[in-house]
Amino acid sequence: MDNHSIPCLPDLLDDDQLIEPVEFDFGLNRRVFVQLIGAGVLITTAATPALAQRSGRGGGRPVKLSARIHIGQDGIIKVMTGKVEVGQGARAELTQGVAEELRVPISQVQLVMADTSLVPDDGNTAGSRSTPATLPAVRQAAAAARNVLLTLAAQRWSVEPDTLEVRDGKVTDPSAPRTLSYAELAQSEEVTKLFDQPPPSDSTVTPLKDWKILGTSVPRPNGRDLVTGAHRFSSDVKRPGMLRGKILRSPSYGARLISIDLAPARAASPFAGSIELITATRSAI
Amino acid sequence: MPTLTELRVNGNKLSLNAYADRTLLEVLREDLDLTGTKYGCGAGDCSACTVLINGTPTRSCLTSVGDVAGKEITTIEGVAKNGALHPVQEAFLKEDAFQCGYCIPGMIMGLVGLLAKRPIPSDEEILSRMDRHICRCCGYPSLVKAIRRAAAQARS
Repeated sequence: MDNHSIPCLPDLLDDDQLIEPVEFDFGLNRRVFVQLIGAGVLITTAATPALAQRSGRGGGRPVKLSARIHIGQDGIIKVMTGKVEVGQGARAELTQGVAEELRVPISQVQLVMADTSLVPDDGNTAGSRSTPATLPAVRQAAAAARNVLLTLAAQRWSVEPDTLEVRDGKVTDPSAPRTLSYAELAQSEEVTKLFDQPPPSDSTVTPLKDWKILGTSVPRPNGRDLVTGAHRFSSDVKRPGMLRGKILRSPSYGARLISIDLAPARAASPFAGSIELITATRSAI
Repeated sequence: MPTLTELRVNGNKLSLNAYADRTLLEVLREDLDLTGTKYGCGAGDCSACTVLINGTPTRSCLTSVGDVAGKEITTIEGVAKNGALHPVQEAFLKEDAFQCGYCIPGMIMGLVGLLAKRPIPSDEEILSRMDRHICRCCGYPSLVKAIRRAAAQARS
């Protein structure tokens, strides 16, 4: 028996118990958040990232606008979601939903997906829930953001909001005419304050008959990365100090490990000496 | 154990220090950070790891890095030139021929290799090349369209 087993885990697992969740420190400060999301005018640290919520089901506390939507100085709108793109098209669909509600081309929307240190808890990516559950949440946030920006422009110009038009990332007063871009509007304390709360539940999303982007066929937003090999799948990600594991399954049902010789593996590995053995019973894996 | 200190990848000579019996796939991904080439089955069954060796589509999971010393290796990262996509990449984009996209780099390399050798491939040649590429999402109808589009471009 190899003596390099990690103590206590095998014992725990032999009793068919689940492993206690390991507490990692993924604490994210404002500086790191800025590095990851990019400079912009609505940056706050994501107030309720998924790791802090840990429900895994989503739909818990309402998500602040600032934790969902970020408007960059370059006009790029970043949208945070806990959903994962695994080929089902959630990235395209959610991008369309945001573009529809914020009246911008889809090229102006970028999704930040799945990074649990940045995104709100939208629950697991399973059960075909992205369309009925996450798309409405994201659309409502985008619609609320549009209303905030529209209302602010109306206040600036001392006109009624319904006299204004919103398109291509700008609020326009056709009577003047004059315009303010989202990026310009977002550089104000009022916006920061309004984005620091959840979207009002009565934020009206665009009705079906007025859809221009939702319901149309659009190319996958990350298609180019997929054909050039630039897209990073989870197996392409390297983290500092990351360890790798390999599951060796028993050749017959119910077999138990008596001994294993790790010497050949160590000899073949350029990282000789770092190979550890963790045994587990069938229920744990 | 013999080691390898240089590989020719995508027109560049890259320095490394790898045991010669390691797989080309592992060295590309782990040592050279060229992660566009995918690890699928690791057993030569799925062709997700296909790269070109002196122009020939080759499964890098079955290839020892020592065997390709001095040969020209082309990976998916080396197919687009100066930001301009290869016609095969354009065809896959045009047909939206992917769901998760994991098999796509291997598919593209297989087709690029075929068209370089057979600029006007027959249906049999296309089938015999692409038949060995597996798509776990089973997106074959759109893949077939993309392959046909790329082949038609080559013919015109």
